[in-house]
Amino acid sequence: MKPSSFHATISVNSGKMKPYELFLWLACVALESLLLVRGWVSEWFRKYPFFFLYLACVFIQDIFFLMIYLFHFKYYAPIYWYGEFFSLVIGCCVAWEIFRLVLGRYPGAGRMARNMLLFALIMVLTKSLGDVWNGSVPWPGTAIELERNLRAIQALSLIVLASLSAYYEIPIGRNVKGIFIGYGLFVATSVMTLTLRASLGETFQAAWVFLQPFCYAAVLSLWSAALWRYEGAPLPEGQPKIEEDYQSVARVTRKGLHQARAFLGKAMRP
Amino acid sequence: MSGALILLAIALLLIGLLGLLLRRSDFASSPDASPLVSDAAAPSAYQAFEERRGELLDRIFGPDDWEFVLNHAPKRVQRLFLQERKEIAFYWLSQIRSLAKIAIRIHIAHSRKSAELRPVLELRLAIDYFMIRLKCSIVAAILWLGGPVALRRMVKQVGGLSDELGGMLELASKRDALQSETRVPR
Repeated sequence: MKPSSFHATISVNSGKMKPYELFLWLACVALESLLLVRGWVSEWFRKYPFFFLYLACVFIQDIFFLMIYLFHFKYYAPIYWYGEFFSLVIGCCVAWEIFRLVLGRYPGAGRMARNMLLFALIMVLTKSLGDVWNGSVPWPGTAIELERNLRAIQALSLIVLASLSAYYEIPIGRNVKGIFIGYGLFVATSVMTLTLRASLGETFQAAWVFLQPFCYAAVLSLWSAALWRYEGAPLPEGQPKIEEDYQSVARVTRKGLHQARAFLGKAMRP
Repeated sequence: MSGALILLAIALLLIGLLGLLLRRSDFASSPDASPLVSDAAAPSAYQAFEERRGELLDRIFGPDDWEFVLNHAPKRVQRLFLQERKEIAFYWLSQIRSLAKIAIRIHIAHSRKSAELRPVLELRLAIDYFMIRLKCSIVAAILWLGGPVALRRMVKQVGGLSDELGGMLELASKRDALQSETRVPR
């Protein structure tokens, strides 16, 4: 199987590297090192440990892969996939960290997220296992399909988080917002490119080897901009003046919505 | 192929939500944007609505004024009348929207920190809210296309059509029941 490399993708058909591929690869390494230095100097790695661990791993991988590619090309493909799945596992930790940073101070919304995520996972797994059992969809046979499916699960979890934080108007600081949006874009573009690669096959290979590292470089630029200056998390809200029971608040809301619906109905019917 | 389309849809949905999040956060962080409506705003909004409701609704959406203008005023006045009524109807609609919005925002402000939050109830309230928003959009589209007088006429026509359909279905089910009762056993 021909791998597109995870971060700075390089075609595997030949051992020769095209100039733009080398440029993308080196640009990614430069941006990663910039972010790591920034995290080290400002000690943000204490605040966002998994994010910086992820960056550090990817940085080491990129340099290691470049060496392998240039000097021991025949080992590149198998090593690439091991590195890819290792990054995927740490990526799950980054997703968890984003959940913690966004919803940590909101136990209610956090509980909603857990329930929705559990529901989504059960639905996806049930459907996938059902399809495999019926024989309508084969078990993911390639590393591309497996990675695509795992990235799709990550995408689902980020969809849950984005919907809840939008609905509950949860304030997010500049830095966390940057990490969240950057990682979300990376996961979304990975799902898209991997899906197209798995569906279209070799015809998409040429586009894949360019698109995936390009998207990753764009995400790294976004992270660099978001983490360039520190902006603390928004101040925690004070508790409501009167400690209100959730049920009674829900009852009042329902009454308000019912009233709005009744007014709307009145406008339509005499 | 359908699996691939679902995955692409998931990716696009995530990108869309992230864009929304980026925009919403920028808006929330602007200095003149108040984070949430205060609790005191709700009762006054309800009260103002109650006071205006009875007298205004029939004037805005009812056919009486329009029929009078249609019979006694020149075309120019008719156009002006329709234009002004449309504006008032849109304002009315925006009041309903803001009433629903105030209700849900107050709920969100209180519930997001609550540890005893109930997902099913939250989902139901969210669906209720979005249904009101959807209905408001449909009403706005009708108002934009046909004006306030058309709204009740259209609803009346749809109601009549649904009554007719209901009658036909009832008739059909009665006929089936009658046929099965009168079938001669062999």
